[in-house]
Amino acid sequence: MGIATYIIRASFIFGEKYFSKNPVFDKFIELIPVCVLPALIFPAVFMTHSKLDIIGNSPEIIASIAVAIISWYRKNLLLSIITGMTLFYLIKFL
Amino acid sequence: MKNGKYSDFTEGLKDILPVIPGIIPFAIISGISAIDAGLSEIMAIFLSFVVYAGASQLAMLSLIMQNASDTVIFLTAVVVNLRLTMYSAGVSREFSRERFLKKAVLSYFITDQAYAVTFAKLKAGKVKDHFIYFCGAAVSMWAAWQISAFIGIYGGKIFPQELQLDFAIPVTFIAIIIPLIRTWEKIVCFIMSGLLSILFFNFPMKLGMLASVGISISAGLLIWKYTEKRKS
Repeated sequence: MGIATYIIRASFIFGEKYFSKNPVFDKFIELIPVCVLPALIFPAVFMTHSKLDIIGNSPEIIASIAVAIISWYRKNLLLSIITGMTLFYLIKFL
Repeated sequence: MKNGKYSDFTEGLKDILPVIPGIIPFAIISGISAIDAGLSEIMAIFLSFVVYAGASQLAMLSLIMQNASDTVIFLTAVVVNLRLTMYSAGVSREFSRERFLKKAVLSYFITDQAYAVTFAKLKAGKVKDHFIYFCGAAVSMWAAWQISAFIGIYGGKIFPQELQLDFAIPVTFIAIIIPLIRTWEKIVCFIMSGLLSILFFNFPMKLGMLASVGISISAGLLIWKYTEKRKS
């Protein structure tokens, strides 16, 4: 796995020279994180046991909305994370 | 001792330093999460050493916790890591257009900061041996990561399971990605991928995630093409 990671990394340094001219490829790269991360985020937030979805005022959902808002307005990553987790615990245990 | 190599190394170390406090909590969380996912301490350390891929490591852990098959985990690691590697190549290109790294890029591509910092210096042309510089930056960051992960792995036992500390993973992902969603096609990608991943949640071997990503990227590209056409 580590070797594969390294090979992939190395190959793209060289491959970049050939692909960089293509705007579609650029866009594709740009869209990867915006598609991969929500695929991890949404299930973790909305499906804590089976499917608590929109209705729920689960601590997960509320904290996530708060984090989204904070991170939109403030650049500080640590601030967003700490605030989000604090809110999560407050709702969960109070 | 102030020969060229030594000072280049410390230059790299110096430049990566501001970034390190940001990744320490990330690394600790990854250590704790590995244990929470059921890995033994040895396996967790192994994971940390061998994979060492920041966000993709956490993504992999999310999958392991959901009992995805090994193939899917590997493929996802490749996909997520691909983004890291391709973007690191892209960052070097960005440097010819822009002088400063955007904070958004910095906070997202955490493991590529060593890279990014190196290419910054490359453009500025101030350093004699860029490889040594890169070593200074990358090794320092690697060390900080491993130590922090170690703390997470062994110190994590202090925290009970009920604390759900691993919720910090999606929280971190949210904090990273939201600031980056500034165009229509990205909004669509984000929502579509999120909804599809819930819809496809019960697919065998977690292929649902790959399907969500595949479909939403295609949709995003289509929308982008459409908005590009409308401009001209």
